[in-house]
Amino acid sequence: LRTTKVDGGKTGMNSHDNELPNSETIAEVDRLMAALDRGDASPDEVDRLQFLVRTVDEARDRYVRGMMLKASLEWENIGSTLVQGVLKHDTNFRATPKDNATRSVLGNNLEEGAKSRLPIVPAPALGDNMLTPPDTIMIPPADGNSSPTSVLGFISQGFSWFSRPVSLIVLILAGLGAWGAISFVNRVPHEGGIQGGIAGNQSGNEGAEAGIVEKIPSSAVARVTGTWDAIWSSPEGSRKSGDLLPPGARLELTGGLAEVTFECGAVVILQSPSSFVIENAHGASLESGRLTARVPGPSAKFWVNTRSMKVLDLGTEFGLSADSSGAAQVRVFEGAVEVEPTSPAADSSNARRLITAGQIGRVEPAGGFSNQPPVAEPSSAYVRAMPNNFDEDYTRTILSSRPWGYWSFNSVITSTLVPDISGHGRFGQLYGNAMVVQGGNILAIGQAAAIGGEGDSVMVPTGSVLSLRDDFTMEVLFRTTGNGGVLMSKVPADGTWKPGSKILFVRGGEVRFTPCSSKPNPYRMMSAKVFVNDNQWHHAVLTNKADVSGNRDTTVLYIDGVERARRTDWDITADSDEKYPLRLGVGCLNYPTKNLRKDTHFPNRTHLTGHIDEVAVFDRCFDADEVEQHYRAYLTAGIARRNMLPFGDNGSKLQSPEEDEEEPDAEDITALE
Amino acid sequence: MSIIATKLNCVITAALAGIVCVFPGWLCAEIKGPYQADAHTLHLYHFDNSSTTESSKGLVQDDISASTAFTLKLLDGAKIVPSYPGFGEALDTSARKSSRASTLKPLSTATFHNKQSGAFTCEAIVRMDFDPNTFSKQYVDRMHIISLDSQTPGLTRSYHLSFRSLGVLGATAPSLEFVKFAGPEGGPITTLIAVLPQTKPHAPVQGAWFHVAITYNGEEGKDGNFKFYWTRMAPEVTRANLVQSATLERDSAVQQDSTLSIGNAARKKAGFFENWVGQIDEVRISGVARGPNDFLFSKPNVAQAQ
Repeated sequence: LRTTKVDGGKTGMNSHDNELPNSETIAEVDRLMAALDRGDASPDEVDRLQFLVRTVDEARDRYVRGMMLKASLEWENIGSTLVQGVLKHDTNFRATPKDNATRSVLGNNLEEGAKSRLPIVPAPALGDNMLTPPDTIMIPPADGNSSPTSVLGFISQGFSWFSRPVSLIVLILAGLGAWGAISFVNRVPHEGGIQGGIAGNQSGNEGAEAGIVEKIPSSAVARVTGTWDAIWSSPEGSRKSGDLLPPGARLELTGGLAEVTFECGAVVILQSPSSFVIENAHGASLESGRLTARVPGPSAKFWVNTRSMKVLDLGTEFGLSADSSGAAQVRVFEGAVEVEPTSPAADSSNARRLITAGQIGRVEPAGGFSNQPPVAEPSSAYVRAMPNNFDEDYTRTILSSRPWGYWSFNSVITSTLVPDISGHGRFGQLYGNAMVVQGGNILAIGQAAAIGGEGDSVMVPTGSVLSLRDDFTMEVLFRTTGNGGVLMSKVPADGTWKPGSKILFVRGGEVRFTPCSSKPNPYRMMSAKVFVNDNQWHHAVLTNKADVSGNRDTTVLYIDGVERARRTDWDITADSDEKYPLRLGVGCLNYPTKNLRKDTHFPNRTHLTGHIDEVAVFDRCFDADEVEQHYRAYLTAGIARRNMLPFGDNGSKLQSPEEDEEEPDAEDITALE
Repeated sequence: MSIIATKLNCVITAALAGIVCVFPGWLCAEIKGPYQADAHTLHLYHFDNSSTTESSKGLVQDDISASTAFTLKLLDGAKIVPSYPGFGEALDTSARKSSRASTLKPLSTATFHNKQSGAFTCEAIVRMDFDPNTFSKQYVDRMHIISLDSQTPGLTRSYHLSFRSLGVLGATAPSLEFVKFAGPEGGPITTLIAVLPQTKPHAPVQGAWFHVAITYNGEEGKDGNFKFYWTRMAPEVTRANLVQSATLERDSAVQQDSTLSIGNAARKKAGFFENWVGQIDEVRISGVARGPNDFLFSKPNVAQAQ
């Protein structure tokens, strides 16, 4: 009934039988990515990178991190130009605190962009007769070639969809993206991923309110690469993951942890309460507080000053604490550091000393090495690794299942390209009003629809690389805020309902799946009998086990980790969907017949009203255990709790008990005599 | 007169009153109840009729004298078991997925809210015989506590109050769910969620009794007109624990085709029964939004010395 599935990559080798040492592999990945970025990678090098990314976990991780970082850097260099050009913000949109954060960054540009945004040119593959409503968002399809290419290759494919002037702008701006900066900021932020996204840099709120998006200082020498429950001394001084730090930047941490990565490669974990100042690409001052520093090697020449000593790292990991009196103490975990008292009171007897692993050196405010035993402190007093980030844990779980494509929406490139972090480079493109919500890292769809914007929707089509004619799995997190709509689809671009079409949607409060099969009929449907149209996040997985020799595919629909529907009496993989784009949040933009919308086999609207996140497609069929594993990872990640809007479905405003204005009951106050 | 009390160690001795109450860390209080029907009580079920002749028929009487009283019938394995101390007996719907106590005739003459204002309070005491803090394949559905639902779809349905354990339908913490399907003027369907406390004393735990209540004051669209209460049944608790205020944009309406079902959804056509795995007792529906001091929990026993 179908052709044999073709493995797009090299076969016969996986991460377990690849004997390359990790360091060599990583170095090779770096070299290949750099070649790609320069544009002089040979086809063999592209193939080699593709092979490594597909088969070696460390290589894939390196590639994903690099790609996400590049996305962030490109965004920050581009600034708001493209955002204001492409995104339109509905002025009637009911703002929430989170939305206001987005609005404040985009500022007046949003309003202006609504009037003067750049034209959106639909992908050629989508056909001339496809409706392109002004409020749609698309992700550019690949060219149909089954061979994934490089990061820039995909970007350039995406650019082919832009009009020439826009392409030129994007290419120029992309060229300005400081890929070289990766060498010093080669870590993915711990919290919330790279926050750039469409909405840009959150720390630019002040400027944004005045219609000015914060300029990234070109002299940045370090970056905040992670925070954990961080509390800052003042709103003005607050930092978040991804923030670039110029010389003189001050970090006043009063709660939690913050990780800073320097251009020289040194990584500092700052513990609260601490007062820390960036000096240059190789050094900083710890005025008070505690930190742990890990330095890649002596060539980094990383140093930290306190009021009483200077610690020169010789390639090591050390902990450093400084109190308000000026006393400081260094503890070396690995390697060695050179400590030099810096107080004017220091004399020649207090020359530099070498402190090696396991040793502690202490300098008193008076300026000399202490003759007293060092202050007792366990090694555990220093945080040597940032706590796990739940989002990243979830991402790792998905990646461990080796998706064909994975769009986490944790970053956006050039404002409209959504990276595929599976490592296959299957970028998506945002269309119209769909946006990645800052801080939530989720795709917001149909926001305007909440106030009646029928055409407001989000679409994420991809190329026709994967034909869902064999085993496959589709996975998506979603939250509907209206009457549901389309989650994912693989439907002809012209909106016709042809054999091979597939659509996963919410109708009647239930998740439904309708494939179009020439055998036995094109209008069969399966429905998960559980109410999900409740403005809460849900996890949906559709798996299909193809019956290659017969016509009884097994299709299972899981909602929130539980099998809710199963059909085995159809052959949904009988027909090719090779030329149909994969879309998120929208199915047929126009219905093939007027009455189709009334058919419960189909969504009652073209688009989704709500949010989508962590979309992944796999070219194999999950079993129930793997679905449950993913769902448990979702529960643990707490994704459902993030970016919760304070408005419930249909405008039902939720309040926390603290907001309740109920007067305290006087009788509850117990008087004592 | 002088008032004698201490929060350090709740030992209140009032010799004249002859009261000695010892409970470390808390003011002394007591659980009031069972309820007596008052002017606002529309329906009241004690489930204390195992000794009556009705028990043989599996019937549970509505403890109001009005003509709008509705008798419940124990269905599909629902049974009467001992309740929280002092509360006689309770309903147990843990036997089967379809176990429930439901009305057997249409609610056309029933009243479930104040006819003038639309205000209402729905409450019960519940004991969970499942672990709400663990995602288990054994319990993957919401569990209904009080449901007013119908066999037909859409706006012929009324509302339900149910419970979601961790992981059930995406819940990342045990939660209460209120879904209003219909109002006097139709839709929209509204879902309100209240995440329950995750720390003592009110954190839901297996085997413990809790009082649960939802209240609506009838002021459509006014902030905070809807409230969720979830309170550990313990003598030291002095008032109901408010866990979430919300806003209901439109009044609810109980449709004539609806069925009142305790411990399950009375919606067989949906294909899924969603039973409460545990016990339910002291179900009271009122035509007023009761306050946190209007439930089972009393004020501190403040002894007055003379």
